[in-house]
Amino acid sequence: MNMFQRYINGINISGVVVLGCMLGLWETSMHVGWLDLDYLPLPSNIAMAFWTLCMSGEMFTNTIHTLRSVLIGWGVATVIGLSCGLAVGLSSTLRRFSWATIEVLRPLPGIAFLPVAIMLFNFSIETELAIIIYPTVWPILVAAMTGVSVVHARLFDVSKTLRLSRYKTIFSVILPAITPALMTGCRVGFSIALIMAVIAEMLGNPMGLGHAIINAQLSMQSENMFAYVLMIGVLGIMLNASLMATVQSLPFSKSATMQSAKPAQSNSNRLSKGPSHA
Amino acid sequence: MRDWMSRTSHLLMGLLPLFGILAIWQLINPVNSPYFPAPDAWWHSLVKQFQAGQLLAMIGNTLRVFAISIFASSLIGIIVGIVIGLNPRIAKALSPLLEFLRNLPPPVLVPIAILLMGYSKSLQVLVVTSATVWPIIIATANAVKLTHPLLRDVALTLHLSRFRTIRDIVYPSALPAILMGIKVAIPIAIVVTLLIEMITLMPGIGSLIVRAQREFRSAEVYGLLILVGMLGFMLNHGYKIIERSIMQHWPPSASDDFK
Repeated sequence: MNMFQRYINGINISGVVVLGCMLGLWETSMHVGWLDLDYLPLPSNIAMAFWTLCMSGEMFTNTIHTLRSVLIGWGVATVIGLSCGLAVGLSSTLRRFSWATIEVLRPLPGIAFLPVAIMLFNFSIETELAIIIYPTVWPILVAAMTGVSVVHARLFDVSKTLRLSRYKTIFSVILPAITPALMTGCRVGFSIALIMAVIAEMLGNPMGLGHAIINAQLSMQSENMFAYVLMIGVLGIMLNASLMATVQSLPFSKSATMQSAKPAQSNSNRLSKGPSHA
Repeated sequence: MRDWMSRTSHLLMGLLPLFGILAIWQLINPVNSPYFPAPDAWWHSLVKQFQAGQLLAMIGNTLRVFAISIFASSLIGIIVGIVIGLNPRIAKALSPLLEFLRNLPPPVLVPIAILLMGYSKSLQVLVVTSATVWPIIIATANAVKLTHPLLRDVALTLHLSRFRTIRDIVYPSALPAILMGIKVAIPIAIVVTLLIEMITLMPGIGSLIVRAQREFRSAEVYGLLILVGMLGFMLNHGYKIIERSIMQHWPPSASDDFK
């Protein structure tokens, strides 16, 4: 009962009501004729289309395709970004000889590579992955690099005192220390990967949710299009939530974030003990 | 003078890998390769386009859409963000909707807008604005919500009107976060602007590059890629300079009426 009560309290009632009212207004105004856009479907039609697409299995295959490309692309980008970021962060020579190049390549919009990728790989999954990986690498690389640069010098002394090998230093000293920064980079990279997957599917690889949306638009099946858009939004929320949950359950991210969060917290406590709370 | 020289040499050193790869590419020069034309061919194709006289107009089109959209979304984002940030009730009521829109990849809005409104110039601005406004709204609302309670007490003590509170206290204190939100919005705006041009083939760099790819003029594709890269670099760094010059006057000093 207590659990149930807490569950009820957790629901944002006003939020649900507003959402419901907006959908209701949309539905009625279309019925009455206040809203007159030729291709705007009714919310109830969108729900029906969603259900039909789920039943026919199209929704499932498209979602799985997009999900798989995002995860593969993001995984590869994380490996590339982390290893390059560590290398550039740890070696000052390498940093000197690549920093400006990174700064020039980083703001290059990933979408501009799409025509080149189509030319090289045709309309295929390779095109999609290339388009996902390129822009996703940068936030992760920069997070790893800046993470290394702010690792406390004493930690390097520790590894020297313990005579850790280079490999051990990286895995048991540096990686745990940069995890919080890295996680931020990975989350940014993840949302970029989802955006780029949708773009690549719209223009470069005729599969997945992005292509389904464009296809529905071209064939004027607006309720299908909205159903797919709904699915992408839900997918984005679910992926983001599961990523957050994974980050919080990681063993060393917790200890590391706690350590780095401590001084900040005491600071904010000190600030908020102002006269306003007295 | 010496400082300037050392900075230039640093820059050149840092650019060495990029130029190295391009030089090797040029030297190997895969003759008539349809996939990897040499960098000088990229340059020639760009010059040819420029002389044909359409390149500048296309760049202008793309930049205009970008600039209007960023301006509109900053304006809307700051106003809506302040309203949401000041009213916890509104924030709570809108939070499911905002959460959904924040997680929705912005490119998805392009086909919806095309289907509902057809192809037009104003559509371009509308779509880019609606895709870029969310990070600004969210950043502003969060910063306003976190305005330090002491600052709110100042407004109460001075009996400031609601408008003056917002203008002199809430907005300045949220400014760094707002600038950060706009910084996040800029790459999204570039991507969505190009995407619309690529999908609808409305005039702009995006449609030029897609046309070149469809007609398999590979040197032109690479040339335009470099051009887009330079535009992206300029827009991002240009904004960084603007942001820095605004932040130099931050934290704001008391305005004249308070002295």
